Amino acid sequence: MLHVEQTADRCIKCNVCNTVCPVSAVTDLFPGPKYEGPQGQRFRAGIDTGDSPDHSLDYCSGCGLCTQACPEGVMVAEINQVARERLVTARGGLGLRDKLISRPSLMGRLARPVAPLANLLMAARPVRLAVEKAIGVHRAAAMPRFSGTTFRSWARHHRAPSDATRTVAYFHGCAVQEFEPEMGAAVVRVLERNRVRVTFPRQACCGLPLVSNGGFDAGRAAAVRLVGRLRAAADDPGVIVANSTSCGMTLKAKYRELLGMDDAATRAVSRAVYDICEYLLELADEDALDRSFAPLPAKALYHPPCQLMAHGVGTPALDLLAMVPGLEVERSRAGCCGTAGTYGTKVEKYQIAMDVGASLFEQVAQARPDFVVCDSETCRWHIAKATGLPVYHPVQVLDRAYQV
Amino acid sequence: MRADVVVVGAGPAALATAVRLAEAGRQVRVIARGNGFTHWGAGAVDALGRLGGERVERPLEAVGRLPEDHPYRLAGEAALRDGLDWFARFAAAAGLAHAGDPDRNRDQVTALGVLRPTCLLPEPAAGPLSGRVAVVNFEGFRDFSPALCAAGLRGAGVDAVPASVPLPPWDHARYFTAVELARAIDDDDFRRRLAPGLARAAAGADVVVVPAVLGVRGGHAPWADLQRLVGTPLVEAATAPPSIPGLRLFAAYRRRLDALGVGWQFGFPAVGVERDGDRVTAVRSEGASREVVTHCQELVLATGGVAGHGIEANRDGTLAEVVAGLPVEGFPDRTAFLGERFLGEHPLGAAGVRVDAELRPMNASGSPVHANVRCVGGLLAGHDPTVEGSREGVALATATRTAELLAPTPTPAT
Repeated sequence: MLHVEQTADRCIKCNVCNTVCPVSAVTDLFPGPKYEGPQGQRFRAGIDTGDSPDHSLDYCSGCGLCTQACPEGVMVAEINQVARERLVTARGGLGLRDKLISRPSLMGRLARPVAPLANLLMAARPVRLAVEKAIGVHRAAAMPRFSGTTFRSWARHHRAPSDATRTVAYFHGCAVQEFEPEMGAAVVRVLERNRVRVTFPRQACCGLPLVSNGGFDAGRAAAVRLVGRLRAAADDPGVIVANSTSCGMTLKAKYRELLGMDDAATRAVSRAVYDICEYLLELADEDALDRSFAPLPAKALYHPPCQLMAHGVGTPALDLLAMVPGLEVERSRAGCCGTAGTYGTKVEKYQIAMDVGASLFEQVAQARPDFVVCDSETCRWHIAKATGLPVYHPVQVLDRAYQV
Repeated sequence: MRADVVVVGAGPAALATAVRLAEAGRQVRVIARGNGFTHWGAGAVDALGRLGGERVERPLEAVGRLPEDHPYRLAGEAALRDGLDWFARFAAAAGLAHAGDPDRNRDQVTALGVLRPTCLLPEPAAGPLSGRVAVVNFEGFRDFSPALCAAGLRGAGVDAVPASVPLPPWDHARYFTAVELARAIDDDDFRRRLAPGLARAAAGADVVVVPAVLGVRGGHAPWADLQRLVGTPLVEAATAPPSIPGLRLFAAYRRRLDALGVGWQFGFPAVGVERDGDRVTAVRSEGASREVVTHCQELVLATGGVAGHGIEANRDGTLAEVVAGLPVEGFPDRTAFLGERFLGEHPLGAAGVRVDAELRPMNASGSPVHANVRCVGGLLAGHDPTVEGSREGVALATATRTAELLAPTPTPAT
């Protein structure tokens, strides 16, 4: 397999990547993936000064749509991410803001004892203004709500049913642990309903926010730690499900592609990871999925996150949601909601994220759904803030249809 | 993963096949390594532009003169006519009305000022170049030279003069290609500010030729509106990739696939199949960390020829079909690699998979390799879509034939 940067040689300059880039469509601060990626790469190759021909590549959101559109196999977005790391290193590493927003579990842990107060403060406009001024997190950017309890404390008290016929390990990640324990509970309930026993291996942050902000060394340290903790689960039970599409994508591919981790342990963990909907659809394919969903007479708009499309498994959530009687689902036409992880929280990029998401928000306004469905947590927070509608993970919808 | 039919590819043949099968009630999934020919092409529907080095005026009539192993002869003339009719209806319903009919070729003007023969033209490209023609570029757009285009047209006997108009102030002055410009022209206000300059450049002309950048999200509506504002017929000339007319069409296809519930995944090529006897039972495609297996009853390969990566050349001079390892014919000898002209007659252009009348790949002895695999579009042997100008027609004819075979219309109860 070619190294990410070597794939630049496959570029035939056809501009297909530029036609799908949601960022260059709304701002000329980013000229487009072709210029920054394969073309810029000619000027970076062999240059060890760490300097980059064009610093505007920091405006790449990393959504990865360019890589998926490229008919020639150029890893456009990944070339940009590797180049960004050099840019960040040349600047002396991550700045304070990027260090903070790259450590969701640290933020969650710090706020946990005072979660109600922290949530109250983060909802207060003067506080958000001060945060914007002090560190550069945009005052209007969607923020997760801190949780007073963690997912693992829920899991410790959870009694698993005894009728399981198979077992999976659950990688809940930071978001479920610190911000959305109820999301994790829904994952566990839906799996157990299908006679799947769920284990909770010790884990930690996958390092994605660090990697996407250009902090590869810190990201690699997180990756190595997590691979060590998940290594045993990769052999037994052999399946690790994740409901965060971006963390799942990182575990599956980005350790290898971006961090150059190609050891046996990383490969074993990568191969064991399944997106939760991918796994549930495999159960359905084996006729092992309980399809006795109660009717949910409602209209939903489903937005497949850009990072889900980087799994290469299509949109399994659409097939699952189609099994729920009465639920009408319209598919989003947008390739990206705009926020792309932490990108849309930054003061200099918030407006770009809103402009990128505008076509999705317009489609929502026209379709007038009862709720939006999206697999990725940062996208859910961003879409909920922008549309004012409830936004659920597909598994939360299935969980509800099982319980009605 | 599971589907009735897996269609591999994202070009004209794949998109038409997937839509037609889904319209007929089959559950379809599309897998592609990336975007396809829509983004590269001239944005018209070629049926048959050249035969034996001569321009074809009546494509449907000329089909009878093609060799028996040509995809048109295999799919049948009726499939070509039906495919073109279906496409015209589909495109019109999507706001992309086309002009033309399968009995007579028309001229499409290109950025080089060449008049290429084609069958169906999107309405913005279809106006006749009669009388005095102004060839106008938008200043700063580097993929179109009005002087070059006008010189080419004069050589073809058209009374053409070059001109250019400044763009109103806009957000993308620093970097732009056809895509940014087309998106700007989608905006009502931008068109209003653009129209007066264009009208001045058009003064005294009967027709204005412009690069094909008149809007991308609103179908043909921005073209119609700008034409009304300028007061002179506007004709879009085909430009270098990315093809804006192709992007309009691709968006229409994807909307249709979404509405029909067809799942798709781009960016991960299909790399193999699983077999049971003479049937393919599943397609294997690349995934983020392991191969993804999609079980299917039927497989349609619409992966294109060498340029589309449906066929790859090995170093030993042999050719290989990349998904199912089908036999490929049409490449005699490595010395033939050196053609005279870029995109001229080259044996690689006509290389492809030989199929039977039901579009099933055949082995050397002429029997089907697989009972449930069909090949459509540029992957097929027996034609060179670039040289003969038949790409979209072959795509639509073979998509139509595949839909007939895999989703036969139920016979009404008697």
